[in-house]
Amino acid sequence: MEILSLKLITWFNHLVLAYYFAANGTYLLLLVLAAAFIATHLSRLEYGRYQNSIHPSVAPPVSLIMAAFNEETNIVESVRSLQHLGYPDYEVIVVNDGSTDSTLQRLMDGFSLKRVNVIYRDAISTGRVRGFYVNPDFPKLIVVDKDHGGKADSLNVGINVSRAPYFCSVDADSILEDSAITRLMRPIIEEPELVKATGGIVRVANGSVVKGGRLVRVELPRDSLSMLQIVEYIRSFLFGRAGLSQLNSLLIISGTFSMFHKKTVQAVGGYMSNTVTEDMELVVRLHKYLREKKIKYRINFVPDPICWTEAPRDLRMLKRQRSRWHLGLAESIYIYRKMLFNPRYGRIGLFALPYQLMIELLGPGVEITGYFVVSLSFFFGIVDKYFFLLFIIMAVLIGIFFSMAAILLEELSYRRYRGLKDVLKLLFFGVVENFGYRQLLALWRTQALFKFLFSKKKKWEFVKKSGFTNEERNDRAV
Amino acid sequence: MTYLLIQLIIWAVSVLILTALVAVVARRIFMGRKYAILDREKERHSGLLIALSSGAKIESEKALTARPGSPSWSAVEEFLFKGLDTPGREEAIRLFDELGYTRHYLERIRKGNRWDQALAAEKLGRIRCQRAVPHLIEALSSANKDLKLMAINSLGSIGDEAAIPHLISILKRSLKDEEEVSTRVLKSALISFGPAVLRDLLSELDNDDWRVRATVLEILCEINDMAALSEFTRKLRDDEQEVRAKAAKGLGRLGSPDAIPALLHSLDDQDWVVRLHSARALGLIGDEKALRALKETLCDRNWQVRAAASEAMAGIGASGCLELLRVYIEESDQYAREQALDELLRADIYSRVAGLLEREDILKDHGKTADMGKGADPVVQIAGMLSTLGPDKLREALSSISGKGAGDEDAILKVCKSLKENQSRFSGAGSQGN
Repeated sequence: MEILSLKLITWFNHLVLAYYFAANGTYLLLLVLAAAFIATHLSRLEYGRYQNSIHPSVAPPVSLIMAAFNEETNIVESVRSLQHLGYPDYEVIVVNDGSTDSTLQRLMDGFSLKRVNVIYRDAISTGRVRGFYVNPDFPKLIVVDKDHGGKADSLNVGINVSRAPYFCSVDADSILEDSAITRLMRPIIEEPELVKATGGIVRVANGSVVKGGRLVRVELPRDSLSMLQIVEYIRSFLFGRAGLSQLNSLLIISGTFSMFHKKTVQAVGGYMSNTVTEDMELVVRLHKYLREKKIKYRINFVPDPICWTEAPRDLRMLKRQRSRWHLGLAESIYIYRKMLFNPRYGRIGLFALPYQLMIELLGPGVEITGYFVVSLSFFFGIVDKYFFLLFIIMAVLIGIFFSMAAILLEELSYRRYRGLKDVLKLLFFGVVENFGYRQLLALWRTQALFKFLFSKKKKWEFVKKSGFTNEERNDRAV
Repeated sequence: MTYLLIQLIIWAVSVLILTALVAVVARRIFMGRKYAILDREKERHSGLLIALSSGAKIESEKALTARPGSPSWSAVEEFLFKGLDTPGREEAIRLFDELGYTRHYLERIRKGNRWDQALAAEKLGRIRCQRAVPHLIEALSSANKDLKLMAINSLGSIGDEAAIPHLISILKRSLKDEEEVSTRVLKSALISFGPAVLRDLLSELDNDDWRVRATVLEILCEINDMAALSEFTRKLRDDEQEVRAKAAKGLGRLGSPDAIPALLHSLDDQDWVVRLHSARALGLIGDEKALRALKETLCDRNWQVRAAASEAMAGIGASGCLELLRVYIEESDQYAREQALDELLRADIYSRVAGLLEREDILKDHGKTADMGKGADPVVQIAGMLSTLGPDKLREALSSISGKGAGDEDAILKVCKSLKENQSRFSGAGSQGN
């Protein structure tokens, strides 16, 4: 029995090692692809200004859909920030998802809205709509009040109300840069038949100065947790998504800020209401539909249109957020498990979904088990001290390398954080995150996976934010 | 072996980390210096923009000369581009030539890498450089997609008519999927030519490919020139529904009452998109002659056509709203009634009637109210029509058009009462629209 256990542990150690090399090899591949992608994008960026000279009538109208549930702290500033976007033709649809706080009242007061009754046709079936609110002084804005039904249901209401051929989902706790929509639409204007969805980059606004719903100065936060998330976002977007986009294998474009071709989304039935992360589920469904219909398409990541969002400021909220994301990932992969390793779905079936399954979903579990079993092996003398130390050093160093590489990409490209001190701080946290933070995230994600596998209760966990106005008051005076 | 491999990886990764660290810091320092030098150069040449803004002629050209790519070159270039939006535009264009920028961009189109080529084409377009036209036309057949796209956009900005046949030719190829280029940017470029492009476009309206005919109508619609009126009207009889719809849209944009008979005929088109655009067009023209046909269209089998018809009726003005109210009160078709109500709510008719009743000058002055029914104020006609309804029907109608349902019973009763009390003063108003 004892020999069998030792053999199992040894076998598992080899598996961990093989997995470790495979996963990091994939990351390395993505990093190289991302570097090429960003280099090309930057080279094209300068003449992107031609968009300012194209005739407004050829820029397709866009509906910005903001689902709001109990967002009283940010809602007016967020909506206000959408009134100044430099795009010729867009409307803003705010869907109040049965908030129990004063979200609707704040909107009504903030924009002097008046209730109007219009015929609502649910091309995509949704929960009950209670009313519409408008103000002729804000012709681009329409607020829809509805029964609580979740974010997906709210976005579906927005799609039904939308009059534009493209819609962009925007979170209520986020701020778009003025040029964000123009930049997000560039691939669509250049290849309208091909590009069915685009996703921009989301960055952490904690610490930055926000005034009147607009981000007026980018600054790094003072708290470590926000700093760690900033480095993590840079890594996730600048090389994870950029690399996958290069392969047209993007399965996640953040629901915080993504553009969709409305007819295609309507053709697949809109957002699915009973999932934890509706954004990923929709994107996978789009891939499935377009591949089955043999329609040539692209789903693009665009690395320069920036959406700023507030990241959780305490561990409890961060845990909720990450657990939800991981639960959503598991759910989406489970729903579309038939696409896995299925050549009918091309690189989505053979690479993108297996990558999400093997590396993103199971990776944290393997990592946590690896720490446990390798430590156990060390204590039982299956591996010697020297090997154990080498392995730990290698694991940490590779983690640091990917963080450094992501910061280098940021430095070579967008350089949002201006001072030398800022970049040194980013580098410091790029090192620090490998000592505890990443392991903590892996633990939470593993717990979420277990919850998915063994728990029946998979409800949406609400992540509470403190709001940008507090940021202004508490962190830095404007 | 495994030990060796791991050791090797540790060394390699350590070197990579150090390289990344040094690269980040070095780049930050390098870029900091680069921008500091650029700022100094901008400071040195800041007088250029001030001079261009005042429309002055620049005498000291030698001081502005710099090596391509140098900070001084970039600073001067930035000010010259900014100068294009000032009264000194002509002077800025002259300086682009004199200081060698135009020559440099023309060279880059031919010899640069694919991004340099595209950037040069974009810049030549911003300068509206006539000399660049043959080069940009040549670039239309380039394999570099970005260069081609920028050349199309720049040819539109420059507006040299020599480019029109080339752009139309590429548009036709792209619509037939023989060319991978953005039709949106092509359309934008052709629209930029304005009426100058009419002759070439009109000749394409009989093209065998309906996609070409529809796209040409789309462009003509944006150019919005009356010279295309007869062609839009003719194309309302095209075999292809997409073409007919675009023709109707174009007629609405032109806003000419001459198009009304043809558009009224198109309200019976077999395709709903054509009926929808015809209804919208009639609303944009805004002539009361279309009201009767639009009222009938409220019973269309397609809800989007019904919505367009009601919107068009409201767009025609208060007389349209009066007809909508009549539909709501008198029509038996449930869909038509709902659509009419939807529009009445949007037009906020209830508040307008309630507001009228609060105007004491009207209600107290018998002399004036005696003429109210003559139709000077259509809201009075609406009030007149409402006042002729029986009490229950009136309360129900007001409750509906207020959008408040039973929520504001007292206010509605007050308006009911006021309408009834003043019914005689609206005499003739209700029947005015009949």
